[in-house]
Amino acid sequence: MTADGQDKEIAWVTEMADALLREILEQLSGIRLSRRPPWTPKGAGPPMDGVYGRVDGAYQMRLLFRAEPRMFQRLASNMIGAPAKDAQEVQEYATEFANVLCGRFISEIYRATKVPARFYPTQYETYPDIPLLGDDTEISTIFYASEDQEAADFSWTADSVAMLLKGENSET
Amino acid sequence: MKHRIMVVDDSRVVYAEMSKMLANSDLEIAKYCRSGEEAIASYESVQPEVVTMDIVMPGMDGLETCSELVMRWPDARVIMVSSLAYNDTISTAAAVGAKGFIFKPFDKEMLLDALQKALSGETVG
Repeated sequence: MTADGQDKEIAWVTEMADALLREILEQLSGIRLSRRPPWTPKGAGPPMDGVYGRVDGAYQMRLLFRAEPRMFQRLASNMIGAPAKDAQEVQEYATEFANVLCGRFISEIYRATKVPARFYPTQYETYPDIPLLGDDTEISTIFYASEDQEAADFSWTADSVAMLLKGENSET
Repeated sequence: MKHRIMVVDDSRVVYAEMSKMLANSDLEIAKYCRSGEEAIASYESVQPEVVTMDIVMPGMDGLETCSELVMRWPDARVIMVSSLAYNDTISTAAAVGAKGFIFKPFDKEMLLDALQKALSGETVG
């Protein structure tokens, strides 16, 4: 347990995920995120689109990065170096960002546990049709605001990874 | 005459980014394939000097495609391009005949360096 009572494995993943997301987003698009408190009440906050990833193999995990559509537009435009042509182009760049994020996330889990996994091509989903990560599992979420005050959050299913880090992988 | 590259990636973003990075170089993208199946179907007619290969793709993934390409064309030089940056994936890529690995996200310098090494027969990454 950490000093504030959080499971230390979940705390490690949270800090890793936060650092990874911010590094990749800034490297690819120049967008800088700062952490902010969760929305209250739960579920409040502006409409957000999302990019969704699914991990499979020795463990299963789902990841979801949500942001206001204007952040995704800015992400694409910054990566292109010019305004994005249309919504499809925005979605393609957002999906590629999510691909990089998923791959690096899995790589960090591997470094800590030596357990490999694969991920499927990520998908862009528009508000309000964002897939739920599942209500039968623990979800970790970090909340953000960008330097342009765009809202975002990053969620993943936490159970399987926490078990791996504890050394409770069913494959070993 | 420019060196001929085949880019295999389901994301048009990677193709667009590589195109920008290779502009004004002695390398050109002779063919862009969005799937492993398309890469295998195109290889003989395109005869690229180097292939860059994404790993995560719908249908045949990049590792299967690399294995198939190298089996059919043993001189094929395939560099895997992926954000899956850990030893298990890298080892698997080498085992199926890839000549190297570029980690995403990559910049122009990393891409050009990797392609030049592959062209000269060196292992990349």
